[in-house]
Amino acid sequence: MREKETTLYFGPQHPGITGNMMVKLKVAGDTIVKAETHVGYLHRAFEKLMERRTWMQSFPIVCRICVPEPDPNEENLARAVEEIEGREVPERAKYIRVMVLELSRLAAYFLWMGGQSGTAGLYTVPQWSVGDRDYILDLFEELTGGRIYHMYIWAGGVRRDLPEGFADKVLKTMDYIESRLPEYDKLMFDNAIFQKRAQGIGVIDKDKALEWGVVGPPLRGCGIKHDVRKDEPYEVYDKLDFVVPTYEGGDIWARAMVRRKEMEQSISIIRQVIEKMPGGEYYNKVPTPLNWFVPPGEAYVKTESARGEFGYYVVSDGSLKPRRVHVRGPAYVHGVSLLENILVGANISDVAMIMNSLGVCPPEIER
Amino acid sequence: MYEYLNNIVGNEVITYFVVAALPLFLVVLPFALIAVLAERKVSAHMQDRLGPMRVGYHGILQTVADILKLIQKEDIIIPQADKKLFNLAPFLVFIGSYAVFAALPFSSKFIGTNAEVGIFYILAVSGFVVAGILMGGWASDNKYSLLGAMRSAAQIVSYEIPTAIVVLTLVMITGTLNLGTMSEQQTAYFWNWNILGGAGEGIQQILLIPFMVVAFTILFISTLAEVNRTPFDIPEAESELVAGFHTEYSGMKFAMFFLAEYANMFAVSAIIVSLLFGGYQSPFGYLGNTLGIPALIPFEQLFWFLSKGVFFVFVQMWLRWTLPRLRVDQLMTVCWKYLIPYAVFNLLIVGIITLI
Amino acid sequence: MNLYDIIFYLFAAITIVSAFIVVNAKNIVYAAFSLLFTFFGVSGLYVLLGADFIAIVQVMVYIGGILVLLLFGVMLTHKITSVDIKAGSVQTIPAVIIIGIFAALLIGLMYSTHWAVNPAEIPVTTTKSLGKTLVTEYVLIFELLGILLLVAMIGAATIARRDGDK
Repeated sequence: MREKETTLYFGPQHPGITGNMMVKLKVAGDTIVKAETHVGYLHRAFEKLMERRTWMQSFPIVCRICVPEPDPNEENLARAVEEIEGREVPERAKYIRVMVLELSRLAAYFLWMGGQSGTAGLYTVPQWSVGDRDYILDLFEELTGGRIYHMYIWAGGVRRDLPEGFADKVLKTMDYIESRLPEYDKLMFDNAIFQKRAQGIGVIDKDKALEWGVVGPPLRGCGIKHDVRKDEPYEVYDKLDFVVPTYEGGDIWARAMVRRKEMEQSISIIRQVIEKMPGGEYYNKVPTPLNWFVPPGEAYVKTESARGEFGYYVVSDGSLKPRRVHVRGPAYVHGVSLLENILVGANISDVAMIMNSLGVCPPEIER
Repeated sequence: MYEYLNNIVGNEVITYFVVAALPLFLVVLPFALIAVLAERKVSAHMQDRLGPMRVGYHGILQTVADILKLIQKEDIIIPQADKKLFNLAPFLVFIGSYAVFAALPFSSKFIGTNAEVGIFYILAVSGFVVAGILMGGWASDNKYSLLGAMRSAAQIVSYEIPTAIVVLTLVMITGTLNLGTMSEQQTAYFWNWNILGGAGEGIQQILLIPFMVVAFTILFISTLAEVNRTPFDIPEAESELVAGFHTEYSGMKFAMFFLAEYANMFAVSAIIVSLLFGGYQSPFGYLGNTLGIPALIPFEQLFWFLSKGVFFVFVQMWLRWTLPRLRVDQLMTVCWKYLIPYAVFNLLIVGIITLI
Repeated sequence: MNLYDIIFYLFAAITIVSAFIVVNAKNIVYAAFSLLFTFFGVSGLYVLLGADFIAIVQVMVYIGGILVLLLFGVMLTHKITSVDIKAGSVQTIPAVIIIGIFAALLIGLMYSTHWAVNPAEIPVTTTKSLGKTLVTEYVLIFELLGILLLVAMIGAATIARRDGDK
């Protein structure tokens, strides 16, 4: 007996989806036979927009590519421009950049944690984690003036120096967050039902993972130690002491635990950064934005974002504006091809959980 | 109760209507008003929030405001929906959950119908809820609604079995199907409650205690599943099925479903209380006896019944905000592979103990 | 006409009207849902006859069990809901003749029987005596029925687990 297949449109308006995208599911009973991702609900043509903006005007655009974690975008563009131009970055700026990147990674993980347990039906964690994330956003607000979009990292360094007493505030927040993590463990990671829901679901094949271009926590959840921060250290990551946690299994659970462990690593990195931060300049001034000609050249830079390896390919033709900025985000692989692959055979109850565990971010897919 | 009302009103028909409407206006509506607010407050305080704070002191009137809003809302019926069934479904669901209140012993003087088949009747009328949910899900012409309705019906039908077996266990001990009689047997003082072996003394009562605890656990889990609460809220699973069978409902019809859900929550708690926790009996004896005012006793009983019921409702809310939901196949596994066999063994062992 | 008469006619009307819809409905889902009210009306009639246990069993088995199963079947069957089922009349003349004969028989019986009218009494509870009768007088039939149901259940389970043979 063959079960009848039905088409189920999961999105674009659906509480379980991580943004404005749609997954067209062919289901037989509760099992997914075929999944098709449909994107295009959030296309804002950032890459094209940048070709009509000056270099400086591009910075406020890139951070809008991903809402939960905008800083890797700024970092990427800044480093690409610096590489093309050969601009030196002061040591202090590098440390500040690492701190901002790690803070934003923590914020993104908090948001992910809320989403992951919210999709599992536990609505207390989202409330907690969004609340705790706000303490990090408070730090950002004090540092940059913006809570979500910071526009802080730019070519030549960072926009401002740390305010007075900021380091102590960061340390205090880190202490608070560290004290909160065990409570999340109790509520979510040690919860038998959550483990039952997450283990063995949405498995990425270890052999196929590299072939499919999986990066970030999903790849480390397959047991493959790959982290741009360690493999090709940028900024000052080579001077910092941290480990890259990996888990075997490739399922939602492994990905969740990788992220959970990375949160601890991020806290430790931030503490080291604050401890080691040198004084001095924070900004190697660029000329007036209206007269800032970046020499011709091209650069590919990558950053480890909360969702994985985040690459920017930037081409300059020597004019006021970028010739081309190509964004290669992890969500594009995770959210389109990988999602289509691993959703087959899954239960419709798990779609939202799998999507969330992969860190699918529609604004980044379509930039 | 009947005689008293009959004397006041002087007409049998009116009396019946009054008696039938009493639980609605005395218990269900006030309870729903308070419980909706309580749920929001409980969840808020569990989540480091304050919850509704604007309407009245600490948001006390929030539910009233919400109801006013729901009444004013446009009643949207999507054109593809089957209008007749779509309109009928909320009422059927509400009838099913309200009918339960007829057999609940609120106090020794106030029980809708003292029919001999009490608990059996309660188990039976939940069939209306299933039919109503299926009707609503089908008439909405929405795949998510239909899926939710199917899941909901499958879940309620499955979990009725462990519930029925546990109820049978209790019926075996007490020898009656009537919840009123059952409550009466568990005379005042908590060591007479069925969870502690029931009234009477002897080795039998002590032997029963662990099996009554098992019975309570199974009953609590399966009734939780029957009212579709987390961790068994699969029919309404937000991240999967949007809102399940009532996705397309708005305004007062949605409020009917909502009311039915809360009425159900109290109803199953009341069933647990009547079966295992002494029903309307006070755990510490009656103030009316001490003071010598027998007229006080029924009110005390009402108070104890409601507070015990509300306590279990609180436990349900507590669980809702601390547990994720199960997947649909895990839900069925829990029912068929664990609860039912355990319930059957429990039934057998309790049967042997009662024969000793 | 006292209260019980009113209730009786109410239930009778529910039963007959909904049964009429069951046979006449063009939409099979309507028919299935009308069956709900038919069962409900019949169980109401049982209550009026003092058979409270049977009434509840009627609700439990027919509404809670069979009807839900029926609805599942109807809703899950491919496109059955959109197909208009035939509800017109065919072979009217033979049907009228047969129904006429039966009606005449029934009416004849009704008038020829000597009805022993007992004064209405408050129905005593039937559950206990029913249970006693089942496990004493009819114990063999009761057990046999139990075995039959068990066999049916095992059979259903065997058919359902089609993947298990591998």
